Formats: sequence, structure tokens, C-alpha cells
Amino acid sequence: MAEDLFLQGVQNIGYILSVIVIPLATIIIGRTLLKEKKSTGKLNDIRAIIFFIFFSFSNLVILEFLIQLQIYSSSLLGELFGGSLDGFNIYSLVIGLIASLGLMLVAVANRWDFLHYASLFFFGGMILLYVFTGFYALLEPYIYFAGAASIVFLYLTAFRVKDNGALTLAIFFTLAFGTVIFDVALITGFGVIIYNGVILIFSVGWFKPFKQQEVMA
Amino acid sequence: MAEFGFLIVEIAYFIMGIMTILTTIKQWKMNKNRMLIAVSVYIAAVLVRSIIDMAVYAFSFDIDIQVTGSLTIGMIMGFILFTIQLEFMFYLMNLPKLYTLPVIVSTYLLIGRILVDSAMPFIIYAMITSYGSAFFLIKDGRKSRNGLAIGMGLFFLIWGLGSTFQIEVLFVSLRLVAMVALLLGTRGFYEKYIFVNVEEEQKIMGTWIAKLVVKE
Repeated sequence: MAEDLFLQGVQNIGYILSVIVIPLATIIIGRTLLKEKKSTGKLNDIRAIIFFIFFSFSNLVILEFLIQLQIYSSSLLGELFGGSLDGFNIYSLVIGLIASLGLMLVAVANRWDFLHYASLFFFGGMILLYVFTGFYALLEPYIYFAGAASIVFLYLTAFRVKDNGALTLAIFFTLAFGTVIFDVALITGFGVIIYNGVILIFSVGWFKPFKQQEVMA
Repeated sequence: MAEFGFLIVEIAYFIMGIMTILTTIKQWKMNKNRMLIAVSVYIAAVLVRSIIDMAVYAFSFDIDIQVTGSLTIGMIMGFILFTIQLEFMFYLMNLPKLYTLPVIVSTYLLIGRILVDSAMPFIIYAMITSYGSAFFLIKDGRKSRNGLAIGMGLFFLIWGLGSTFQIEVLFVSLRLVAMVALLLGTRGFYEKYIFVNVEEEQKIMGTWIAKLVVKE
């Protein structure tokens, strides 16, 4: 009984933290992106991708918060949200989009021109295939594969080009996908709290293990 | 009997294809333009399909063997050709970021074809690929007065028309016309007879007028 209460408490702290920290981080990254665009006149591709990753994740956590804590919950919203990767729903679509953007970030950071949009094309094609034929068997393996590949390549990219943004995302992806794959209440609860901490530290600019960066400012 | 006719047309198409490749390679040796190599590779891919078609007409070999679901060998080859065609287009348009798009689109259409028995996605893809490429190449060719681009554009346009109708007589005949248009493009026909050099014409006219004035 006490264990259950503890786990529930940890999870609730995680949900509340996520719903505050992730949208806040999105706003901070968005502001930095706009500031940079104003001063240089050019949009930083890498920052823009990071912004879209956080923006997508913000929407997901807000929806999840509304559903899990039953502040606003309807059967239709719950059905649309889904909450699993086994089939197309808002949850799997956003997780798939984040994984695809992760791969896109790797391609952009490494300047692999021909792979820039490959992951988005692949994911978009999967959605269209589902719309026209109802086929979704590729979705779950794709999300796991794209997630794992993003993590591996983000770490490699981070150390290769000495990029703080890539390293933060690598840590964030490791924890976020860890909570998705190891769906154990305790791991998920603490995982969510830790990645919120990492995001907060990164977005306010305290996380700078690489003093001299090559890709991002 | 009809098969024999198709075979003759196919052989003519194949020979013209070989002539086109030889011309482009000869020109490439002179000016080292990479576009000529890309054209040669594309035509070579088209001719691989032609060899199979000749075998179909000569030995009544059935190309529409089902691989799985509604997917046939002929359709797989069609997808490969359209992929090469789109890749070629993106190469010409200098859009390396889109290089993976044709492969991904073809893969999904192949999967879709296995799942659903409908040729419509294939026909729409063929139309977009052919007419889109034709529009870009003819427009660009006119602007830059490039006969090879015009030839390629006409090739895609006429070939696309043949693919759209899905009637064998039209498909085979239009393919031949398409190859003739391309061959003319590689041999400088359009530069010589279609794009008249205005400056050169005015010079000639000027000379004639001058001669007439002197005579008078």
C-alpha cells in the first residue's frame, strides 16, 4: 500500500514537472531561435529541429497530463491519445515524429545532405500507407529502431562535433525512450524526473560540457 | 502477328537507345559534362526493360508473374525505372536533400501494391514523375536553349503519355516516338532547327540588305 502510494507520488511529480518544464524549455529554445534569426537573419537548422522536438513533446506531455490526472478526460480524447506504440494514435504519432526529428538532427549536424529529410519521408510514407491501406505493422519497429539509432548517432555526433545540444538530446532521448521501453512504474517515474532536470539545465544554458562548439552556438 | 509488330518496334526502340547512349558518351568524352553520363545511365536502365520486353514479344514470356499479393515483376521494374527517373531529375535540379524521396515513395507503393489490388497509385506516380520531369526539363531547356534537356523532356512527356493510357499499342508506339525525340536532342537537332539563333539571323539579313544597297 505504501509502495503504491510512493510510486503514484513519484509518477505524479513526474507528470507535473513535465508539464511545467518541457513547455518552459520549448519557450526558452523558441526565444533563442527567434533572437538568433533576428540577429543573423538566418534560421539555425539544428536549433529549429531541437525546438520542434520539444514543441512536439510539450503537446504530448500536456495531453498526457490532462488524461492521466483526469483533469480533463473524455473517452474520445483517451481513445485518440492511445498511449501505446501498437497502432496509430496521437501518442505513437508524436513519439514517431520525435524519433524521426532525432534522426534528422543527426543528418543535419553531420551535413549528410541526402539524408536530411529521409526519416521524415519514411515516417510520412508510413502514415499515408496507414491512411490508404490500414497497414501499421512497421510503426512499432520503426519507432524502436529510429529511437535507438537517434541515441547512438546523437552521442557519436555530440562527441565528434563537440555539440552541447546533441549531447543533451542524446541524454534526453536515452531517458525518454528508456521510460517508453522499460514500462516499469519506478523507472518511468524517476526517468521522467531526471530528464526534466536535464532539459531544464540545458535550456537555461548551464549544460556546457564542451566549451568550444563547432555546430551550435 | 501483333506480337511480331511490337517486336519490330521494340528492336527499333532498342537500337535508337543504343545510338543515344553512344552519342552521349561521345559528347561526354569531349566536354566531360556529368549530365551526359547521367543521361547514359538512365537510358541504359530503360534499355534493360526493353531487353525484357523483346524477350516477352519474341518468346511470349509472361512478365506479369505475380511475386506476392498483386505485385508483378513488370510493376517492380516500372517502380525501379521511375525511381531512377526521379533521382535523375533531382540530380539535374541539384536537390540532394530529396535523393531519398524516390526510393521511399517506390518502397511504400510496392508495399501498398502487395496489400491492395489497385493500379491507380502506380499510374498517378507514373504521371507525376513523367509530366513533372517533362515540365521542368522543357521549361529549363527552352530557357537555356539546351537541346538535350528538351529531348529528355519530350522523352519523359511522350513516354509518360504511353504509361498513362496503359494500352499496349499506344505504349509501344509512343515509346519509340519518345526515343526519337531524345535521339534528336542528343544529336543537336533542336539547337540547329528549333532554336534559331536570332543574332546570327540578323547578321545574315544585314549582309543581304547591305549587298542590295551596294547593288542599287
